[in-house]
Amino acid sequence: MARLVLGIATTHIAAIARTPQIASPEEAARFRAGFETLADALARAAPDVLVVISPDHVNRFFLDNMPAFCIGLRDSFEGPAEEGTGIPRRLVAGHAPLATGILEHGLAHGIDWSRAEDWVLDHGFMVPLHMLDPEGRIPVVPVNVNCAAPPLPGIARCHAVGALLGEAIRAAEDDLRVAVVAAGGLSHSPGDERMGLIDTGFDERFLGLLEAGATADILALTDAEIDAAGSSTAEIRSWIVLYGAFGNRPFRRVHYQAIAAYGTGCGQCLVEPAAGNPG
Amino acid sequence: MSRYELNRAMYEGTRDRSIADKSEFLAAYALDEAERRALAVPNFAAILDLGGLPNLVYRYYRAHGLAFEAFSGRLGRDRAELG
Repeated sequence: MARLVLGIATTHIAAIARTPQIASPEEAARFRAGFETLADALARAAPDVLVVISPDHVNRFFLDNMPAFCIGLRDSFEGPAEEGTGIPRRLVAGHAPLATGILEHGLAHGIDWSRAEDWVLDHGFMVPLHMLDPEGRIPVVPVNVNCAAPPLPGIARCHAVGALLGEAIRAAEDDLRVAVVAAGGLSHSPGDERMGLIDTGFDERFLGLLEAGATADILALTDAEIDAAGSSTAEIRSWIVLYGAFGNRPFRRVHYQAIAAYGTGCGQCLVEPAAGNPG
Repeated sequence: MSRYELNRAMYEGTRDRSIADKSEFLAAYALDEAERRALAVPNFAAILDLGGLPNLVYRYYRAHGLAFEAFSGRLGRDRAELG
């Protein structure tokens, strides 16, 4: 049986790879140190597979067919889709057997996953992979959550999908060690009039809820209050999927800064399965 | 008015098609006059008002060779021009 060995949540702002120097040296160093903490934890967890949950920013998926949740089934993926991210385009190994198991488990238990067998991953996926596994040693199962083209999946639904994602991983027949990375957020608004504004009050509240394991309050977050914190703050959905996947285990904060030059509340957390719990 | 066509133009114009010749580029889309004008100028505030998805608006902005840090200022000027 497969085991969940580690959860990671992180902002995926491309500036950390492309132009980290636009922030102050201290800010960039603290953010990078956060990634190093996450990478060290990942190395210690020694996963066989990474499930990476991220929005796709209307790159692979457009309004002609926009899934709420989509899983990637391929032996390899290219990325990043965009130019100018600071990340060399490369092949990322996939893990089609685990992805297929998650798909089939979901279809049998109430998640009608969309699936993609042709998918060039965007910076949402490639920034965390570049920072956490730059040599691409760990195969990846990408999971897209629509956070950019309303109407978006609800918070409770994201949590439920996460719970079933975790269940599906644990039900996989192969003896795999699986880490889950949630990428996106925190408060930011690329492409509209609030671009550059960071809602530290919202970010701190959200992180506090995750640290406290305050499930009822997390599930009570409304689209209106999330949107009030920024048009792309909706990306915290990927964090909530992770929270559900780990059975509402409290997150441990690694780093948070409102980095004005990146226009983003930059957060990073770890979550581990309960001691003695096989995941 | 077609929010779908507006967004499709930005989606394809930032990946599959050249936007160098705006007339030729925009001729491929069933846009109304306000949408066509907003994309042609371009006026990014107008594009947002017409239903442009912010992620695509920002990519369309960048496709014009405009700088990340100048976005807010440009959007403010575009908004002012709308009156």
